[in-house]
Amino acid sequence: MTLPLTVIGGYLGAGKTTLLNRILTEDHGRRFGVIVNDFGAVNVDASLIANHDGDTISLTNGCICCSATDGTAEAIARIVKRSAEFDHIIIEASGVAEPGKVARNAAGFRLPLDGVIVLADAEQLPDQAANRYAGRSVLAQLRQADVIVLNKVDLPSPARLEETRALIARHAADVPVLETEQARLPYALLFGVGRGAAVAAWTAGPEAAHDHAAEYVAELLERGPMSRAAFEELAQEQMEFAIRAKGHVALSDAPEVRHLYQKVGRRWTLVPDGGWDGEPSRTRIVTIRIREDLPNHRHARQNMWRVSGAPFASGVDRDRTGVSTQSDC
Amino acid sequence: MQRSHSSAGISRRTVIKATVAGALFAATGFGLARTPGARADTPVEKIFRGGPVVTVEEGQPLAEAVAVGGGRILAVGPEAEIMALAAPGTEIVELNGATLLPGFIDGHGHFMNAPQIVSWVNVSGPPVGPVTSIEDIVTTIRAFMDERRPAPGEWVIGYGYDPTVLSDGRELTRDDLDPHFPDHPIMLIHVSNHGCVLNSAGFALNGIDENTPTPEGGVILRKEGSNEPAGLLMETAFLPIFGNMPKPDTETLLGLLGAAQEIYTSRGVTTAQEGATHKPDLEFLLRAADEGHLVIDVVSLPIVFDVPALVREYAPDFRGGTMELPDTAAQSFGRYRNRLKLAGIKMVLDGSPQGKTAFWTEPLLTGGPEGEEDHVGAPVVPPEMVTAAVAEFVDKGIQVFAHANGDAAIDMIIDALRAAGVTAADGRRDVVIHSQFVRSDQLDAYAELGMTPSFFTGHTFFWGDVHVENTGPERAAFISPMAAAYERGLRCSNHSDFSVTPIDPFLMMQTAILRRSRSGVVLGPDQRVDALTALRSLTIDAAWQIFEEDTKGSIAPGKLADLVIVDRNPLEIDPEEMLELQVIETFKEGASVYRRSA
Ligand SMILES: [Zn+2]
Ligand SMILES: [Zn+2]
Ligand SMILES: [Zn+2]
Repeated sequence: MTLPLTVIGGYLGAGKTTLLNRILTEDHGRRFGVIVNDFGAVNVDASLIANHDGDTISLTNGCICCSATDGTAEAIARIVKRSAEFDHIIIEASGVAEPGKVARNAAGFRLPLDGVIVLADAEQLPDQAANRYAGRSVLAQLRQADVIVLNKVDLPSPARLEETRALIARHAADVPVLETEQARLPYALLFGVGRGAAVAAWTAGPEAAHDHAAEYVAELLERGPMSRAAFEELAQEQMEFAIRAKGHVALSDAPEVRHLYQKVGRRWTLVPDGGWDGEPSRTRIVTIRIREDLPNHRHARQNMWRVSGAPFASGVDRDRTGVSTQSDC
Repeated sequence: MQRSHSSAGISRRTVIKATVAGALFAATGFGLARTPGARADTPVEKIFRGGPVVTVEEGQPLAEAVAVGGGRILAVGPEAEIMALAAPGTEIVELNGATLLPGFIDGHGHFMNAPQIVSWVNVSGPPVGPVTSIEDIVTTIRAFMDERRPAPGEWVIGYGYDPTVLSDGRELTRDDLDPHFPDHPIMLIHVSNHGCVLNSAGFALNGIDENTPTPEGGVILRKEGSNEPAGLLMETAFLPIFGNMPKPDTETLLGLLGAAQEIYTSRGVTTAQEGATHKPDLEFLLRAADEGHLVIDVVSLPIVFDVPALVREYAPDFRGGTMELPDTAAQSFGRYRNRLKLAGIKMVLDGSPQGKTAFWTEPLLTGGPEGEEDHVGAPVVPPEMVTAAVAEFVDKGIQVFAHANGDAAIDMIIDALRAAGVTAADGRRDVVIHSQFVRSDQLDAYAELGMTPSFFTGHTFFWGDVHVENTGPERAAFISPMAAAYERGLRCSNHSDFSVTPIDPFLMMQTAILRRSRSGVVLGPDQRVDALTALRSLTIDAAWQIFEEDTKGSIAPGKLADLVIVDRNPLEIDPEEMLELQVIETFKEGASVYRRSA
């Protein structure tokens, strides 16, 4: 049983706790096992706690929160033992930790990395990056991100915000940036559509939903078998600005092998993933990207988008909320 | 990954909570203060005579005899004068030329590693253990198993595995172990604590075989020409094994406390430190103390990361921020209850220099752990958190014990104390544990702010050559600079960071005196100290550092009769012979707690 792993990093005050609190307590239909540094900092509403058991709290929505103050390896081991109870694992990296190293340590437990999300404080980031003690760590965090969430963008002056953006562009040029307030993000941008690692759940998504208010579009891309070079070219053209993408790929030089393509921000992998099991050998990938027809979504800088992110729990079928089959609807 | 830790079971926890309710953060305080001095009519129970008494007292460094009663030292002086105090019931302890010293004080170490270590087999190379070949490893495990008789299937865990000390010139493999130990899973932990060697039973229990991929950042050594794991696993490949390592339960740990404390008493140590106490360990220690299991004093430093959880548990009505403490918090510190004392709060600011995870201001000459250029390491916590926590501890009157190896980490704690308005006049004695790469200007700041270093001179021996390579000869020469610290009037302790290196006061003295690496390089000849200074850092100055100089650390009337008899006088002996010194008997408050078997 392998569960996708998301590492959430970022310096003090960037909003990791706010984001975790949302993930833990909102009704998103996905069961997360979350490892935090101190769950005292995660203000979980007491009415949502199903059970509080030493180092672990279980929540009514199926998530559990596990404290790692005594060692991340032990906390991961504890949570991996219960992996049948979850769809996804999240590790909160401490304020100065390098999230890339946290992800790599987790790789020892054979948890496939879904993505490294690094939050940054729009007002404080330039000062933090210049801090003589923390500066190097702050910049390393940005460099190691697959997606940067630039939080609290309502606080800085326009000039300060531009300074922050320039700093990110300088140190993490190829990392997509989602700008928001109060760590509000469309859930699908963080964890994709569907449940867990199942590709079927992903690619089944787009047919169903259609929501004009959504800030992102999910599109299904279908092709026949093609060469690896052709696929990479297609990925470059069609998915360069996708925040996430996932699906199966049929390569013409090995048509009997099914390949799994996954992209989170700038990270992508294409790995063999069994056979087609009688399914037609076709490339079928769902991409999720920010809608650019909404005001303010695209900024002067490439790769940076403003999202307002309604709470996850705004609709009935959250996994599919906001998913549409076309970008121009 | 310094240690794994015991977890008090959940049902147990409730019981413990009831017995210690009010112990922490309570208005009534944690224990009773010990007032120095003994009453004039206290009967003399023991008189030590017949050998040099090294008092470590300024005015009277040497004496002939000592009278003890009621757990205290009653009188120190010329033999005739002391013998005149003898009464009918007085026991005369004949030193027969051996030397009497004050009991040693552990400047910094991890007491909770002791019960674990005593249930493990030592497969280290000299001077820590007996192993110089693969054959030695097999013989050592065999002897251990003959003695302990683990049930088939039960883990046998060894520590200190180091291929560089093996005359075989290769790694130990499962094939070396399997023929001898087919029925027990065996795990030999690498001396770096970042890996291990498993036998086949160990591999089977961990579900690792030829189909197990090597994780990024890890090593699974394979047999030649095959994908089958050979034995050694390192780094990320070791993490799941480490995370799943079997842990003794509370009852088992309590049962091991006798043997655990003998690690200390057999080396003459009468005050141990639990220098990074997690909440479950504190609950265990409180129980051990209250049930009378402690024969030596244990100084515990609750770790800062667990402070919010401790406040939630012991002061449930307190409403404050994450790192805030109730006004009465200081009353839980500084006093013994049943041999357990909380001394202050432990902060961890960086990692280890040999692991290249310490935090320096100047880059290493050899790059980072993975060859990163311009590598200075990193802090473990954001500076804002250090500043806020230190301000709170200063405000509430709690001593700070900060682990800091690199000079950037040391700057962080100096900055934080300065920002909190601390000066030497406050007499806080905030301790910088390790202080290994402290700069000369930082020692000045220590003096200005009343800070005190706990050095780790053993590094000059164990990792001295590595430090020269990584930091260059100049920085390496100033590692744990005890002479420079004493020159500034600072009082220092010296430590072994047990179980990072063994508890051995004589090894600590020797490394402070010689500062010589394994390869024979002397690191900073000007930082070598004389034997008395080396001894002070393990006795009176270590006592001063934890505010116990009125009751411990020297042989003087009124102090606790914590004493050790050593076969030769460490102040007279050639430092080259220091490791041959033998502890004959150790006394805690007048009672014999260890006696070397004849
Ligand atoms: Zn803990
Ligand atoms: Zn330390
Ligand atoms: Zn330590």
